[in-house]
Amino acid sequence: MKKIEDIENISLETLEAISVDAGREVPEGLKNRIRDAILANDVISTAQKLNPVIRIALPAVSFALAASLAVLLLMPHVPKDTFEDPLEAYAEVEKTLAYISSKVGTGRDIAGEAAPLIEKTVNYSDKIIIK
Amino acid sequence: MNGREFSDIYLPLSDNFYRVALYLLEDSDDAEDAVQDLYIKLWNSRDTLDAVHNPGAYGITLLRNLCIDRIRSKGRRRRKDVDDIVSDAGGADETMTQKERLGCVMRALSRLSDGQRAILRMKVIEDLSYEEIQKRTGISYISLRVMVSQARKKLKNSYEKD
Repeated sequence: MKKIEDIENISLETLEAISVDAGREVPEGLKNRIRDAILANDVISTAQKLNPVIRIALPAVSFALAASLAVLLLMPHVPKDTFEDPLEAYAEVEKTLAYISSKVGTGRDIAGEAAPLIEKTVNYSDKIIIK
Repeated sequence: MNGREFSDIYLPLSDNFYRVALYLLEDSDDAEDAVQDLYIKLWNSRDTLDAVHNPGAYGITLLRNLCIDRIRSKGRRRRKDVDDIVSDAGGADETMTQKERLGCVMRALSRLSDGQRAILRMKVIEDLSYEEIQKRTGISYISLRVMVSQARKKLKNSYEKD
């Protein structure tokens, strides 16, 4: 084997002349073995290229599943509008009616307070119109 | 540069490159290994090869560097008594694993039939379409597709198993 320094000193022209020297024997089947090496390399490269796709897709799919699960579990509670037990349904109706009634009562009180003011306004407007 | 151009321009230079490698390394097995490494490197960078005006000179220059790396690694091995560190493809362990993988797939390739191997070469290296391969070989389009698919599966299995 030659020394590295000697190789570095050989000119490109010298190597080119050696490359076309038909007197130097070449092993049989060299071209086919080179083709096989290229093929083998291609198989490996293709397999290695596919792996990153799986490496990226798998976490993305897992994240999507986890996010869906979180949404389902943390969704705010929606009040029931159907009941299996009639007594439970009746209690819910009573509660709703009481709520409405309290709001109506509040409305009546507000109206009651507003009535004298409304009467005053009407008297004024009558006087203005009559004049 | 596509596969067909690569086959037409670079593959015919294999004998030339071998003679140079043998001259530099003075060992036929090492020379063949070096030439194989050269072609894999060229194939992996074939997209850039259109800019090369003198493929022969370019290949010889790359080959010289590969031979120097090989000699250097052998020197390191003699001093440190460890396995060969091959070429410049990253960490030593990773390069040796890549070499081992290549060896596995090449052994699997040798177990394919001559016909399957030839068709795979036409498809992958020469970049021929199935129609073109059909014209050359007389094998039907569907049979070709099946042959290529089966061959690829066998090779992939050999690589993944090992």
